[in-house]
Amino acid sequence: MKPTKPDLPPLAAPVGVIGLGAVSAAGNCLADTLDTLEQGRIRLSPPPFATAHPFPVFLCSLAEQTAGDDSIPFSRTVRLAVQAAREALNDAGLSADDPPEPRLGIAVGTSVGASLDFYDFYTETVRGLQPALDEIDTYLASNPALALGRLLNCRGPFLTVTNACSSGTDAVGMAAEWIRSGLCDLALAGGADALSSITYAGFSSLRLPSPNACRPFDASRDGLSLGEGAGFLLLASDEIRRERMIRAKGFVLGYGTATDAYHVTAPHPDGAGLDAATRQAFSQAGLAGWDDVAFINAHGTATQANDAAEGVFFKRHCPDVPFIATKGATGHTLGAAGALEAIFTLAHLKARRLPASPGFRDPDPRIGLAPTREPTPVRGRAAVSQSLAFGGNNSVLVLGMGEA
Amino acid sequence: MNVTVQGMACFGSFGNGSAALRTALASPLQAAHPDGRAATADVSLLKDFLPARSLRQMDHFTRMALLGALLALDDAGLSPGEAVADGQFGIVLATGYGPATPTFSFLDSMLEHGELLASPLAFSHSVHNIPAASVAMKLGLAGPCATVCQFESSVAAGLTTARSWLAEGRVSRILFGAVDECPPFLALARQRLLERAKDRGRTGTGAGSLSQPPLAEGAVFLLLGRQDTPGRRGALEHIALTRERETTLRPAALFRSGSERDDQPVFVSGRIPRDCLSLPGVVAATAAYGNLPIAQAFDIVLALDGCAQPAGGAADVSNTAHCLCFCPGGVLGVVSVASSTA
Repeated sequence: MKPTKPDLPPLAAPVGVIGLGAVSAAGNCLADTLDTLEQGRIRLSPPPFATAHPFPVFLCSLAEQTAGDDSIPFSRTVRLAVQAAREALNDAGLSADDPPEPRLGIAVGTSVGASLDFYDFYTETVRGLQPALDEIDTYLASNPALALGRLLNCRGPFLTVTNACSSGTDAVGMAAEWIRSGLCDLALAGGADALSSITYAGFSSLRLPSPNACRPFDASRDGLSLGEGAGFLLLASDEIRRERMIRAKGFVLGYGTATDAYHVTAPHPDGAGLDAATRQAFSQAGLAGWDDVAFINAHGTATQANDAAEGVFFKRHCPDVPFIATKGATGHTLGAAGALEAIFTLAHLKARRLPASPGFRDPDPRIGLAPTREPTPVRGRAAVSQSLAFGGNNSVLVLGMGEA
Repeated sequence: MNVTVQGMACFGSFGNGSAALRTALASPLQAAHPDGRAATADVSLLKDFLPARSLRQMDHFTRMALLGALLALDDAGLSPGEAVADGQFGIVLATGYGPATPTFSFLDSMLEHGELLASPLAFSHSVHNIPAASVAMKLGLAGPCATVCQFESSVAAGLTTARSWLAEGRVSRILFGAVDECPPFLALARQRLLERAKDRGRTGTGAGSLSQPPLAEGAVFLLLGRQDTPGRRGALEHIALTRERETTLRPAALFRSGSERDDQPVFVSGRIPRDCLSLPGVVAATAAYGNLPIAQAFDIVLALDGCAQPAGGAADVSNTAHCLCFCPGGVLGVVSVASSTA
């Protein structure tokens, strides 16, 4: 029997966002981060570990922050996540120290945060030594969604999604569906990733990093810059917002995700999966087309392949829609990137203006389009944040302006 | 919303297929390697589906995922081509540790050849979503695709995602897979944890306990559909992943789906509380499939197969069973299953 073919997901109810939190090299909180973006500051650092590669990185300046329970050896990824999650809770007038929220779910996108990231233990063991088990203990204690659930003493559900560089976008989209379907009343949704020496070596082996600060969409772009960070959106049901009289700072209007089924590490050159993901997200958001989109937060890694693929997509579908690329200020924060950029999108919708894209200088004639080069007014109430990932994954959020 | 199960496949250290899994209920898994690991899963059946050339450079984890997906489609009477024509397929892959062998291969390449000559192939295959993406590529399924990685809670979390995608009309069918592999280094790390636990006088029933069966590997794939489509293998009636601060050990009170009865069997996995095992109707089948984070997926297969009791036990009078996974930090994964065999 042939199954029914739904064309696209039907219109879905908007999900309110009541708190935002962000930490990255661009700032230890959202306000500092937005100021960095506005000023176009770029805070590049040498890698914090010994390496033979020359590629600089974007590091958070929060070096030794606590996760809130020093008896457990949480990873740096978890500590970054806690920092951003606490800010999102505080932003909504809640506190991680209050009695636990009865139905708070946690959805975290990550890459490094769920990896077997114990280089020292591994190398010493294969050399015949008996290293301490500290790195293993940290790994076992630090699955991001489970660790946050433990620290915030909440009931769930819990999701650690590992879709590489689109993970943060996926976590937000999936948690929005939890709220719509009543699985939970509140959801901390976002992403977190610390810089890892293994990941750094891996990206270097693929010859993807730049020896300079990355320049998304620039004619002279020569690769990405790895970064670290975390970003969380606190999503709430309509009932919770009504009961507590909390105004939404923005809305998740739609989410789409599709794989290219094309190549392990390169995006489809025509943006096939990105097109499918966008159509899903528009369908859920009830958008008829690009005319309703004020701007796009591009994935913009500054690799040749990524920016070219996004450029082809923009030129074909939305050549007149302004787009911004923010990784010039944060670096590529992997699993956190989609969440951070969703937060920036909501902030720019609220501010009614886009800053210049950090690091961008000269348009690439092969792309034929340029991201924002100067502060640009925002006209419209909805914007798109998109992420492309290893494995050909493409994920798209349609985000809406908050209540006045 | 219920989720129907239209196709099912499983294999692992115990052998291939649900019949082998049932047999293993009566003959617990033994270590097959000197380091205490159970047998490596046999993925040679892949050659029945795909030319060997197309499998070159594919790591063992991805081979397990691909074989599981193909077998589940086959069980549902679908070829990959028919699945592509359907056009509304999603993939959700749940894994406790992710592709461990490529991760360690990448570290080996750094150690052997230096950081400047580390293997880009090993690194790219160590990224957690590459196995699911490879399944999508090999089968031509260009739809939603997600990988979930959170130790023992991965199965319930992945099924939660699958149910959401079906319920919101994003897809009409989902290939849900649960995969974990067991390379030697994981056995070595576990041995170190066991030695430390012994030194500290701890021998509990958790993943690091001395009484656990050997480390194992394997895959379970389910072809899932929306509740308005027939499920020849049964249905998943309740899926939850919650952190319960207060649980009693009476099975029906361990979770709150609202439909459970005391006479319905309960499969348990993960960090099973000792007291739980003596309760009527509680089945711990870990000895059959071994010690691995995706244990709950094998319990779901047993429940779908109507195996309420270990081999030789009485037949189940109900066609509903519950699969509970006790995860770290007090998290409980719950999947209630209606088999089609009653």
